[in-house]
Amino acid sequence: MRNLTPMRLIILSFAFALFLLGCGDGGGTAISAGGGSGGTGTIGSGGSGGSGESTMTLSHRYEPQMLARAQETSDVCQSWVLGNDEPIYVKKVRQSNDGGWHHSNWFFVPEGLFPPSPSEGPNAQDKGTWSCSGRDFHEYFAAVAGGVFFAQSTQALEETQTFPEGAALEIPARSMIVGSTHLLNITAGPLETAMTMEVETVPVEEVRVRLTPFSFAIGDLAIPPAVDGVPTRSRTSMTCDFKEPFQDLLHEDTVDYNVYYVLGHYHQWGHSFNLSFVQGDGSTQTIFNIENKIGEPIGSIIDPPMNNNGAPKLRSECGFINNTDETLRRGLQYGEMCDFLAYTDANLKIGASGINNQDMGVDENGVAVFETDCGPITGFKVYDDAEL
Amino acid sequence: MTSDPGPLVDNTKWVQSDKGAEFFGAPPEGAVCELTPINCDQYPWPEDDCVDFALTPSCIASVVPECLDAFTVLAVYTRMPTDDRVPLCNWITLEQPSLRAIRAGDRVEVRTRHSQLTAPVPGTARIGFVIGDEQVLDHRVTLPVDYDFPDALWTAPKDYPEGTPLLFHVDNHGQNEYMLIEASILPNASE
Repeated sequence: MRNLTPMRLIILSFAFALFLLGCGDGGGTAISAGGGSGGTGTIGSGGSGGSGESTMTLSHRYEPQMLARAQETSDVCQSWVLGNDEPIYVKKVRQSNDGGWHHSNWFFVPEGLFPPSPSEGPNAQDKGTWSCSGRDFHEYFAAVAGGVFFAQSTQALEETQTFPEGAALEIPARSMIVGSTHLLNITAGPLETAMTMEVETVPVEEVRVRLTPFSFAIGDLAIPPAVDGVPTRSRTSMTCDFKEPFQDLLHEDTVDYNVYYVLGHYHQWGHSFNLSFVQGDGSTQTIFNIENKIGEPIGSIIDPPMNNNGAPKLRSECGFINNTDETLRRGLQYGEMCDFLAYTDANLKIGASGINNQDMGVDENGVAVFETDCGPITGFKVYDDAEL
Repeated sequence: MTSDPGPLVDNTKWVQSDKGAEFFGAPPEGAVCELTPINCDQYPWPEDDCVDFALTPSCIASVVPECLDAFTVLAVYTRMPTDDRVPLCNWITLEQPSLRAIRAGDRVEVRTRHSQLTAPVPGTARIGFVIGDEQVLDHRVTLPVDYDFPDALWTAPKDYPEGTPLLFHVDNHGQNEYMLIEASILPNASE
C-alpha cells in the first residue's frame, strides 16, 4: 500500500488551511443567487415549505443525467454556482428527483475550488456536470474547504433536511454547491433524471445559532494487514481535550456546546465510526455511531442537538477490516482515513490531527486497538457573538 | 397466439425451495442461509409490499422484498453485517409459481443486478433463473468483478401453464448483494 505522497500532503494541507481560514463574519442580509448550469435558479419569497414571510427559497434544477439501460454511474459531480454576494443562512434543504438516484452527497465550497480541467474544453465552467475525478474532487476535502450541505439517503426520491429550530448553516459569499452522485438505472430502458434542490434561507437576524465546525483527522494511521489471508479487524481512535481552546479563545472555564451534525469519513477498508463525548473520569457518551457501512459513511443531523454535559474531551474512532497484505497508512485512493466534521454551536472552528499511533493490544473481541495522541489543536473564535 | 405481456413474478412472494439441484447442483458443504430476519422492526414484511431496507447490525436479513425506485426487487444479502467473514446466505434457491401462462413464442425477459463483488479472491458467484424445466439465466463470474446487470431474453419453445414453478438462485461466498429486478413476458415484437 502506498504512503501519502508529497502532492497529496500539499492538497490536504491546502484544504485544511481553507477550512481553518475560511471564516465568515455574517452580518449581511442581502441574498443574491443565480441559476446554475441547466438550471432554473430562482429566488422567491415564502416558497414551498417556507415557514414565514421572511423565508426565502432558492430553487435549482440540476442538469438531467442520461443513463443507458443497466448503467450505474459513480464519478459524476454536479455544481450550482449560487452567485451570492453576501452570506446566506440555510435552515432547510429539500431535494426531489426523477428516480435512479442511489445516493448523493452535497457540499458548499468557494467558487472556483474545482475549476474545469483542460480536457473539458474551453467552454467548461465551474457550474454544470463534470467528472469528479477529472477535477480532483474528493468529498472530505470539499467538506473541509467549505462544509457539508446535504446528504441524500439511499434511493430517496424526495426528502428534506432541516436544522433544529433557531440554527442555520452559514454559506459564505461566492459559494457554490457541489454534489458527488451515484446513480443506478434499474429500469428496462434508458433513464433521464434530474434532481431539484430547494434551499430555504432566513435573514441573519432570525438566526439564533450559527453553526461552526470541529474536525479531527488521524494522520498517523497504521492499520494492520491480513494474516495468512484472514482479514484483520482493528480500530483507531483519538481524543482531544477542549479545556484550553475554550479558556484561551472564549475565556470560558467550562466546555459547553451542542453538536448538531456529524459526518464521519473513511475509505473502503473502514466499516464503522463513532464520535463520543468523554468525561474527566473517562466515561463516554456516544453522539453518533455508524457500523458496517463500507466506504463513505453518510452524515447525520443530530436532532435534538446533543449537549456535552460538561465533558471536556471529544473522541473519534474508526473500525477497519484490512484484507490486504500491507499495513494501511493515511492516503487517498490507496490509503485510509479516519476523519470527521461536526457542526456545533461552540462558536469555535477547531481542527486537530491524531499523531503518535500506539498499539494498545487486542480487545475482548479480538480486535486490534490503536490510539493516537491529539496533536496541537488549531482553532479560533468565529463570531463575535454566535448567539444572535 | 401469445400471452398478455406482464410480470411473471411477485417479488414479495418468494419462498425457499429444495428444487433446482438439476440446474445448480447440490448445496456444497458449508452452504447456509439464515432466512429469519434478526432484530428487524419491519418484519414480518408487509404483505404484498416492499420495504425500505439497509443491512445493518440492527436489522439483519438475507432475503428482502426491497423498494428500489418504482420497483419491488428481491434483494439477497450474502454476508453478516457484523463480520463479513461470516456467511449470512451463501446458497439459496427460491421458488414461486408463475403469475401467468407462457405460450410458445412468448419472449420472456429476466433482469437482475449484483453489486461490486469483492471477495473471496479467487472465488466465483452465480445467479440463475429457471422457468419450469428450462434454465433461462445462468450467470457465472469470477471475483473480483464490478457491478453488473445480468439479464436474459428467452423465447418459450412450448407452452407453460400459469403456476409453473419459477426458481431464482444465488450462490456466492463474498460480501455481496444480488437482486432480481423483474421477470416478465414482453409485448409481442409486432405490437
